[in-house]
Amino acid sequence: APLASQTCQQPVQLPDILKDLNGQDSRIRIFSDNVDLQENQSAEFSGKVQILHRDTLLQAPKARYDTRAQTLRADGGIEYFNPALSVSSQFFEADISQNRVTLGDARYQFVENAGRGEASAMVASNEALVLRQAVFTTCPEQDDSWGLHAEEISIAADSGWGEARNAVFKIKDIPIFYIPYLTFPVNEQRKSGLLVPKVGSSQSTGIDIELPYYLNLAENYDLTLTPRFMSNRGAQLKSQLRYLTAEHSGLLQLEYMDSDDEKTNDFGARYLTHLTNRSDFSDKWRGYIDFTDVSDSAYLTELGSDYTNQSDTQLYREASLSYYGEQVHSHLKMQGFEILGNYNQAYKAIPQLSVASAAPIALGNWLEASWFSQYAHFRNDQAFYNAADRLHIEPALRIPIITSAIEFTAETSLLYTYYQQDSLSSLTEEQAEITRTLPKVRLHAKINMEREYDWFGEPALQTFEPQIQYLYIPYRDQSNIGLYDTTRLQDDYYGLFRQNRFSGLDRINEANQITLGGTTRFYDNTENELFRFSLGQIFFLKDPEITANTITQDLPSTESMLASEMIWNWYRRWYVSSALQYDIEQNKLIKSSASLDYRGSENTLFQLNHRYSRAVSGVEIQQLGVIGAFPIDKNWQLIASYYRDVTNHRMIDANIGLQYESCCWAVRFVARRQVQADFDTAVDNVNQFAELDSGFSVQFVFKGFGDKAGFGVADMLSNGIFSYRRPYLLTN
Amino acid sequence: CGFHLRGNLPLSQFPAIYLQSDAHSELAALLNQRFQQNDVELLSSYQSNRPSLVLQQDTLERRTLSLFANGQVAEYELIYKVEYQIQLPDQEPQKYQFELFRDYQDDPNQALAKAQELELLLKELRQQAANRIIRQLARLG
Amino acid sequence: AEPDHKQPISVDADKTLASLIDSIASYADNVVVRQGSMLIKADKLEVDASAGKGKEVFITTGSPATYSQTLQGDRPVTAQANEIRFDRASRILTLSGNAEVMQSGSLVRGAVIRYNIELQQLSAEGEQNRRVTTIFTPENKDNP
Repeated sequence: APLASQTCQQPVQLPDILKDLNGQDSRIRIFSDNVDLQENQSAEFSGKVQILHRDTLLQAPKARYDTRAQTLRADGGIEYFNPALSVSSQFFEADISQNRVTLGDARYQFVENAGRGEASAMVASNEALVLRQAVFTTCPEQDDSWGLHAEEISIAADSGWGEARNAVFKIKDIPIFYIPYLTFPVNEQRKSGLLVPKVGSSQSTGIDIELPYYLNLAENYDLTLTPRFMSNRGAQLKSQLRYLTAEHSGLLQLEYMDSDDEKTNDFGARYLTHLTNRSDFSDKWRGYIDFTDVSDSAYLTELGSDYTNQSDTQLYREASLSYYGEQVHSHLKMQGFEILGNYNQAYKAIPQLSVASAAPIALGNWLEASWFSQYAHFRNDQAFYNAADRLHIEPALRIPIITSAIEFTAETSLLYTYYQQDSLSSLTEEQAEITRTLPKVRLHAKINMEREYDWFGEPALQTFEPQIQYLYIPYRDQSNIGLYDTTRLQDDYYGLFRQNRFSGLDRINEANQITLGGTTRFYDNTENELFRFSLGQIFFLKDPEITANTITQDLPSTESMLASEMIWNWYRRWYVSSALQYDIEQNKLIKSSASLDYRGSENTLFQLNHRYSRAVSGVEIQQLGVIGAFPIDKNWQLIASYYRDVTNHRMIDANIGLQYESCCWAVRFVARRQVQADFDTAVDNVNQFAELDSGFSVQFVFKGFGDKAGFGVADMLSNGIFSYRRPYLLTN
Repeated sequence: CGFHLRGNLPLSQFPAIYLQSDAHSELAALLNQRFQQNDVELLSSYQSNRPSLVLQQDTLERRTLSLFANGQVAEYELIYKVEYQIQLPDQEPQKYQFELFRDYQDDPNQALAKAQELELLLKELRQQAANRIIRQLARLG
Repeated sequence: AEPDHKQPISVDADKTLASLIDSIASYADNVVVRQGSMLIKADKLEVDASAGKGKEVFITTGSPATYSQTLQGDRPVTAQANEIRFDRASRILTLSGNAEVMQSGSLVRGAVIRYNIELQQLSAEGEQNRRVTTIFTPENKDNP
């Protein structure tokens, strides 16, 4: 078990009488050595008094109950328990009818989680628990590493929220900072609360300090304000609003920086806006928005953001309205991009309306029909065809026959597409208006075969699934059709069985071919897939016409593909996994990735990974990575990762992290040196390398402030560009 | 070599099942289709004497796999993560979780086309995920 | 009507054994002692009249012996114990052995309970392993 629960958390010993308490029982039961009762006025109890009411228990040397006012008072050494809390105090008063309990100079300890502390006065009612002149910490008994001293702390019962007013945060009695008002989660329900300051540095920002404040605005709204100070650049304010209502859920992130000292002063403000929203207007209508905008291309690499990877090349924007009817589904979508760096501007689809059959329509017990239609308007001022309208209609008939052994599908469809294209330069008749009609016939069969084999003496399963597909699509000259949402799909084993080797609708490749393929899988005795091997080939009955402008010439049009994927729990905690794609016809390795993993205890791991791709946008990629993490002792943990670009013989990402974790707090030091994406150089310009940026960061976490996450090994490794992917038994 | 055609329909031991998921979940639609193809009756509400399948979560995440010399992302890894729970009649619900991976090359020059490719890959990942869940169900029967 | 303690006490029983020497009368089987609204039922009764007229002490035993009375403002009190001693003069009941007294909304259970009917005061003690149990049922409207 992780450190925290081994040594830190001494379980709260609860008297066993608590077990038979029942929250609904409104009677007050009192056990004592003797009782003096004056009928419906008062009752004095003495001698090891135990008072049970609903689900609470009070133990005191003596107590006095005023039947008329329905108040109970006790003093001397008092122990009070309710399901969430155990308290020892000197003075106790309960107002039974209001169900309110007050305790004087109390020492409390939460039962479920690690919070404890003292308070001069403590008032527990069914709405909230309020502590005055209080101290709150999650450190175990004698350990006062840190404490939140506040004039008032109130913990709302059901919302799992704590609020502190006039609080001073102390580390070993040294006041560190004063917080007029703060909220913190008492359990992990919500975001981790008092987001503790992050201190770090990097060449691009200099010293980089973030002080997040978390405000719980309402039941389903919360706001995090994070002022950030960078010694090289100046001050920035980041804000994140999250909302979750019955109909709408989403997040709005706004980041604003008035001026950046590293930039010329006419550069102006730098900002980021990011909105994701989903609205279910009714059970049939749904709206969705995903929008990101930045003030300048270098914003992400220089200032970083939680919403995009620092080396992303474009910002995605989409707004869509979907209708989920009984017979018909339709999606109205507006899609666009902001491109970072000097690339050609992308087409926008404003709008794109697709309407399709909700589910296959049965015609008799063998035949089923379905239809898909789409209208789209594309716009791109920098492209030859700067605007185009496209209407596509595709009715299909299908005969699916599914038996245990054989899955057979016969399918025929008609693809009708009509284009109206505009351009700044003059267009010929054939360019301005085009209609393309194509029939398509597809026959596909898959046979499921199995056999038992012996896996170290245990029965295990091997499957063999041969597939055969015949595809017929006649040739059509489509050279006049612009490329709006179409590009050549990457050829891999899955591609062999696809019906179209282009994304989008603007190119439909000719086909008169048979594809043969097969996959065999080995399962171990507990049904984990250990090894999968697939082999496939396309046989052309008629060689396809050479289309004039294939988009990316360098992508080999492979007709025969061998693909194998393997993961093997080779020896106790060691894993070997590899994936390979090989083009048999051109006898070339297309892509390979391999990783050797050792998975020790919770925080011990080692991984050696290698990746090779023959051509990514025409460039060879070969990369080597080493990751290691091991505990030095009970509290200290070391992690390290190193990635090397083998093709260009240079290091691209290196991290060293040292973490000290004690029961209630943890600190992490990470030094890293990473390549900075440089958008101005073209991808295939091999001699212009992006520079490396080194940085150092210190992160404090005060555990138990609902901040359990964030300190596992995987999170530590997520500082690098390539977050860690644990060896996962083969997955599909 | 010992291979034989698979004997029974993978889900023959489940005459009926209740599938619960997010509204309009495409993965759920695919599973429903597969259940119908395997003539498994779809129940409209949970019944304790019938198996139930709850799709708890299906998310698509992206991880950087490799960089170009200029530091830009060359290859991403699409990680389709599925969490679901199967409860057989009068048995404890069993939680399952798996991840499916696909490489994906981004190309800033054709952003819209690449977005279409991403959607196609997601459809294929969902097909694989549906097969995977059906295979898991078949082994439970 | 006259308050209970001013009314005559009547005793019924299947068997009576009066012995005049030491002025103790005893009764047995279905003993019922009545004084106004006060009612004591028991298996055996011994009446000790040695302190003179109007100061008799009624010692009843039963399994258990029971007592009930309606005090002013018609709030009933009931009690039971292995032995109930009723001292007519001081109007104090002493219940011992699994003693239990129930008044409006409160129940006390203990080894020995002294109940002063006039002042409606009660004090109870437990024994080694049986502590005194008091149960209040608050009548405020909102609880079920």
